[in-house]
Amino acid sequence: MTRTSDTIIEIRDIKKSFPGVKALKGVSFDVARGSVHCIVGENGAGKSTFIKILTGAQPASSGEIRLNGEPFAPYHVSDAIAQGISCLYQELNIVEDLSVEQNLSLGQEKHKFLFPKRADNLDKARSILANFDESIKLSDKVSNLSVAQKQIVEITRALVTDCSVLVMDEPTAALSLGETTKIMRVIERLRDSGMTIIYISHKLSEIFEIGDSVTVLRDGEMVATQPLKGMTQTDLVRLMLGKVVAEQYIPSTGARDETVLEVRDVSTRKLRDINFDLKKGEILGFYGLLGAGKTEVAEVLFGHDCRGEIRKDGNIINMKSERDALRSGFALVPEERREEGIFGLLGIAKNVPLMNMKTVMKNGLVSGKAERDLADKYIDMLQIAASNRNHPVALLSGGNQQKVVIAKCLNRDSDIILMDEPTRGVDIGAKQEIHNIIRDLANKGKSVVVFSSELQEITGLCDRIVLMYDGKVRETIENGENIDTDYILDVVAGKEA
Amino acid sequence: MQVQSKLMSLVKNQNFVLLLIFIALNVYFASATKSYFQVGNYFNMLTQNAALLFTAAAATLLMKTGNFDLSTTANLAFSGVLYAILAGMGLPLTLAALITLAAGSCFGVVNGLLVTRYDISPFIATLGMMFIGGGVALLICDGQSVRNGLPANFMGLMRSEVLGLPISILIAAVGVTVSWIMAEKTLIGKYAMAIGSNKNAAALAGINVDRVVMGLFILVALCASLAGIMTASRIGTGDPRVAEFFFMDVIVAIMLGGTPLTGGRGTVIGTVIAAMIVIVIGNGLNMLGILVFWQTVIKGVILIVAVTINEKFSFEKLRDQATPSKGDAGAGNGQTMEEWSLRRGNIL
Repeated sequence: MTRTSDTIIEIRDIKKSFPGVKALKGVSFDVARGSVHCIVGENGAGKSTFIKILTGAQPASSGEIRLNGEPFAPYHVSDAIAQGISCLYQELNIVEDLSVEQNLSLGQEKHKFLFPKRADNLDKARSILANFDESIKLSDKVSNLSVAQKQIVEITRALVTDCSVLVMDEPTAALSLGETTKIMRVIERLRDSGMTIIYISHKLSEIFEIGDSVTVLRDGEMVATQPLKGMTQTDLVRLMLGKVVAEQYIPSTGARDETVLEVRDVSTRKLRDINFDLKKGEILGFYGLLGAGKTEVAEVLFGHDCRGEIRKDGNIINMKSERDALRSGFALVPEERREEGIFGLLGIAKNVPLMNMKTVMKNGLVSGKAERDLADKYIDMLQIAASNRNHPVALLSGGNQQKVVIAKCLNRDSDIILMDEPTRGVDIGAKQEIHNIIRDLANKGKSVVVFSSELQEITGLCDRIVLMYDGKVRETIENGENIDTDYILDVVAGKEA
Repeated sequence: MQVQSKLMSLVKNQNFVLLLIFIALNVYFASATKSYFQVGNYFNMLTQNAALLFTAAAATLLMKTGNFDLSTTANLAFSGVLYAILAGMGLPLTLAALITLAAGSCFGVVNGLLVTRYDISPFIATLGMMFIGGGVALLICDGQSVRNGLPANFMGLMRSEVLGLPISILIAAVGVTVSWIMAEKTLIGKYAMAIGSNKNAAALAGINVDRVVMGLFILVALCASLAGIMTASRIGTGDPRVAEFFFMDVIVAIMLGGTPLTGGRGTVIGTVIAAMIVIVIGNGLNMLGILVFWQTVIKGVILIVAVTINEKFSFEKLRDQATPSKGDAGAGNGQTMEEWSLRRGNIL
């Protein structure tokens, strides 16, 4: 490998395995000096793992990184910092209760018997800060700053330590539009001063605004590394998602002419003017990239605050909590199965009735027999593979855990079932089974809303598809034989119609 | 205008408010009973509560990291008994004191190891040590106060005076000053604050979080142990049941002084003023002839009021800082457990 002076980092065949998972399966690319190099990929593509390796938070399983032509294998975050690679993590890592000045030196203070010496780089810090935002004073307490200003303090901290590479992991995730613009200007200025920036974001517009080149990761593999010039957002999305094989779509058999849910002009902090209808016996899909607002729509339907109007069976409903949503006839299969879905230490028999204890109560007491019967009914109905009813659910496979969560929701007997990423982390066989269960539900007259970031799942399952981009509904399309996945990708990538 | 805003900030300053309460209490007790407002009485209060003052000051640093120690009472009792036993065996008092301090600091080592190495919550770890230490104190003296063979100068430590001041008051003054300097002038105070405020950020900034927490647990244990030695020499015996409410007094003082259980905030000065308030209330009520049982009730009320005020302050702060949820940024297949747990806060 010959080194050219304009390559600062060479990454060669980096692999990383966790027990049971290969998070990175051999990633290789070069980063040009003084450029903004973006890394994109959907969930689980390996972005976070890669960042951790590059910044010394985790070692790689194999492979080599060269920094300025020298081998670079940091054991600790401070190793990486000492060699000039600083990182802004997704969560802010500054201490709210300390002043800006105290934060800038935190952990790196020079001291004599633990009495700190006067920092010699204060003038430098002051001028860096003033460059970005004149209103931040060194003596300000961090908790009084805005999120963008805190971001700037973090950037300043990296700059004071003379870093040559700045890694930014979704720096704008928590920022408003105005603040984002501010950070974009900061990044441009840093690049112009010769710094190399590695920029991770799922906001494609930002990437096209400031990026020079992009590396696309998918399922732990590097799909492409190329200049952004000449690419369109659709090209990038296609690289991120890979080949989309349309699954055989079987329409639901119901008439689908009775409207059970009308959502009108619903807005929240992240959503703008959401409108859609849901019919009885229909599977409605929500599709969009990460951050498009799918989860927020699910939240609104499950009792989160919003402006606008939600009508169920013609009547306006006003939900203030998850309890209200359940009472109004919604049930949710949540995205985070392990965190929000299962009670891992309990068995199937205890998990299934939890959303509707009435089904197992007898004379005011829980009946063990009723629990067993109920569990057997759903084990049979959903084909849950478990050695016995009392086996802790946490020890089941992902697919079977998901079926338990679905059983729990079905036992609630709600009219509208919301499913957020119903088959994430589930193997192919179980996925097909879960799809069949969902279709069955629709055929029995339930209405199902599926939120998924997997286009194949959406086109294979849903009767109608709502396409979202940037917190808005872009279009609602009917599924059918002639569904055009290219067109869908164009819409969710934000291409103007 | 400026005078007004300065006044406002003074009113909002918790320490200033505490100081006003302290003064008001003094004025009230002085007017209510003749024997209160006298130099002798103040000396008496400070001598009796010297141990509380410096232990609470040191424990403020620990509490700033979000940790606390419930085993100080047990440590105090154990150290007092051990010191008396060693003195009774004929060891020179200085040597007996040094051995006792070494043994007492073991409380801190165990607490610190449990919390930092084994990730046990400080509540459980130090509650366990409270029982163990209290039990051991009773075991080594067979449940009896240690009086036998005590040298004639056993009570000398607390009786002696330097520059006209009782030595225990001097020890308290030095202890409080050292803690104050550590908290305000050295990196230890800054790091303690950083750890309590954002442990992750502190660790990522290169601070050795475990070492700081460990060190502060040991510091508090040393103070409690010294408190035991001082109490034993004040009452002239090693009593395993002495100062039952010591650990509660320490925690009441810290929390009333403005340090929340979760840490990240707080001042040594605040703790000291709050401790003085607790002491003055106890002494004043005694003077007024109110049953000592009432004092216990009042301490409980003070604790609850203090915590309520603290929680309200920190709650408002949290609400102001609330950052929006990360939207769709979900943990998917193939991500680490760490990322799962990081997102635990994002409830749908």
